[in-house]
Amino acid sequence: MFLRNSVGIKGITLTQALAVNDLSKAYDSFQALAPVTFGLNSSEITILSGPNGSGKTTLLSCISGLIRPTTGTVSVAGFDLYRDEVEVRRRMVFIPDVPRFYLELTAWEHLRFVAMANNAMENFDQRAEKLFRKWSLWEARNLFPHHFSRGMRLKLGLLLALIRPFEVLLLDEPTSALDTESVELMTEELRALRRNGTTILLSSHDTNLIEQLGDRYMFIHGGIVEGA
Amino acid sequence: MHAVNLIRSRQEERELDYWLSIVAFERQDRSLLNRLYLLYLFIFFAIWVFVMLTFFASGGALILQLASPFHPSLVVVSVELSLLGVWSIYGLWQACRRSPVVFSEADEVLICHTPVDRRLVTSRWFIMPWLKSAVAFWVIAVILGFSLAEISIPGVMGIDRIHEYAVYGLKPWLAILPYQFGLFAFQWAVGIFRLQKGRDKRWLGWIVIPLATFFFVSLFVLSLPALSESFIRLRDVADLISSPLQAGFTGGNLVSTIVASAVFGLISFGLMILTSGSFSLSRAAQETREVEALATAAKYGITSYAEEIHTRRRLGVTRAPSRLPALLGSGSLIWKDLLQARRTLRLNLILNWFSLFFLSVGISLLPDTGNLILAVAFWVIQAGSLSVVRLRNDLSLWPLARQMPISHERFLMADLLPTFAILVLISLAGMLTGSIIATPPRPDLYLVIPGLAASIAGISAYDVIQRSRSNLLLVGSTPNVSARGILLGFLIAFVIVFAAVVIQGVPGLFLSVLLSLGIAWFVFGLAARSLINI
Repeated sequence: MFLRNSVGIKGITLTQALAVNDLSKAYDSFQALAPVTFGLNSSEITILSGPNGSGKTTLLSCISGLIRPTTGTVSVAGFDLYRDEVEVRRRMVFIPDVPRFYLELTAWEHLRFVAMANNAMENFDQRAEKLFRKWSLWEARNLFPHHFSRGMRLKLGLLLALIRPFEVLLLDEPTSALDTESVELMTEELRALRRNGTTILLSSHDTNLIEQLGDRYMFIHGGIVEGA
Repeated sequence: MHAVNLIRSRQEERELDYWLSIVAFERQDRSLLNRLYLLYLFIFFAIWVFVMLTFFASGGALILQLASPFHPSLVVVSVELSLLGVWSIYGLWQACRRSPVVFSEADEVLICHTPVDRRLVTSRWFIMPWLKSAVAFWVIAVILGFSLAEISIPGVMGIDRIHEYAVYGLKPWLAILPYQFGLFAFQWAVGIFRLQKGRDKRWLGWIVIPLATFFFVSLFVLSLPALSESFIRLRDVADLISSPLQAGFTGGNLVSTIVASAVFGLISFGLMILTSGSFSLSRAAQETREVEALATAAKYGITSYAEEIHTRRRLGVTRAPSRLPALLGSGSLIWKDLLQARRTLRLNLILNWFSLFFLSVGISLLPDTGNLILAVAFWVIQAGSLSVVRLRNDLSLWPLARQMPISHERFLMADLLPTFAILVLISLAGMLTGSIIATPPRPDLYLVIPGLAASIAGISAYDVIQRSRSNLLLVGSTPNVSARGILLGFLIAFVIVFAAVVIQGVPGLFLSVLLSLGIAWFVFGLAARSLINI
């Protein structure tokens, strides 16, 4: 199953949607992520799997720039994560497995805030309403997210991404806290995004999701990525 | 060992370790040197506590002589009685709205959801809170006893007469010990009774509180000689109830009153054990786990967590969408800040800004350099800490903050600018107020304020960002301004104010303004570069 359609070091081209080169992370003497190089194309879903504590979140955090890698570079559509950070931020979005939110802003206001920051205010009210209704959060739109369940937080995290434009989507265990109906919805959403040309890298233990969505697979164990 | 005992003794050991760690004592270290250190600590603190108690007692003696030159012991009894009364009423009020037995989240899982004997749990949980509540009363009793000794013992107090002095402190302590124990056990009995069999008897407060208030107020009124003469029989009752305290302070039959107090204490404790049989531990845990978490957070200095809990309580569950007009790009951060500021405006924040205002008034009023330096130093600390509140908040939500398509400079500017504007306005208002009150206007100082405030905000932001670690930010942990940040702030303020004050006239003014703006620009650049490298 793994290594299907894998792209090696020589396979990286400048036009690739996401290019990761020699990326590694060490905490003192502990190597959390061994150097890894890979590239992902547009309209492609890559699934990263591996046991708990294998380094999936570390890899996604390093790619998204939430954690500074010890070595290596990340580029999105040819823009370097640290040199052209604003350009990369316009194109790439990461949804953590347990999103955290501002205490003082309601779910609706979080969406508004992200849309304003990304200059994506065109038809905001209609788009936001459509998203809230689709993901069954409409009734909870004026609630403060710290009252949300984990599944609702995950959905709100996804909504914060969907309200703005992006080309690369990183998701950390996106279905871990979702009910069956929401998993279906998530699968459909990811398929639709792929059709629209989005590059998706997600980590998951969900075998159904892995089989239904994966175009490429990467396996990580002890910080070493296989199939890259 | 029974599981309940094991868990509780571990908690008590941890509590003990916490207090011992303050005096750098390692309980695990069994070496001779460490034991000698413990002996040294014991002797040192025994002497220190005695000296402190006598110090407060000499002040207390002065007040007692002023309050009642002929019957100081009556005043002492009234004071102790009033304190016990107010504390008991408050304790009963608390017990009627929240369980007196406090459980943590871990206790809830390990104890409250298991079929352990409820009596064992409450009796085992009783000791530590009782000791904590008793210490204050013991200290006050001993101080008041020593105060009476200062008044009563004639002549110069020497080391040979120290036992006489000590007896004056020991007697009230012995008298109050079982009395306060009984009152505390009674508060617990009421609280436990309220949560018996899982039914919350909220109505209990409406009976217990008025009764307790009536009881203590009557007791206090009747203990006053002038009023009690017309209620001779009631006075006897009042005397009986306050007799342990009177015996402790005025020299009645101490042994019999201690025995009577001990009987009262045992009855209260027995009542508590009796009511504990069907005490709902789960309900108690529901009511108290947040209190326990808050107390632990406060004890270990995790103020941000305590702040978060307060904010959550204050915000409630839902809110209608804000009507603030949209601001695009980095303006969205200002939009969010305005919303946050409006929803979290609390008295302590207003007081912080007020203190900054009064410090600014002081800076323009203080004539001597020493006090001026002190006022500027406090201004720097306060301004630095207030400047980075929003930045720290944004950093604590690292995945949201990091993913904004905004350059580091704009991000930092948007986070610091609103607070900087308020900082400048309040400081200038303070200084102008100072000049209206007494001193002539100081345009040289007014002109350096914007640059100075920007420099302090910049260096504080740099300090916070430089000490931030991405793996900690991901779990919401943001550092505060460190001692290094404060020291750098002092240095910057010193250089700018020195240039403004020492070099007179237009050149000094020009140099200090230029210097302040230059430093502000430099530290802002440093902070922005550090932000990239988190």
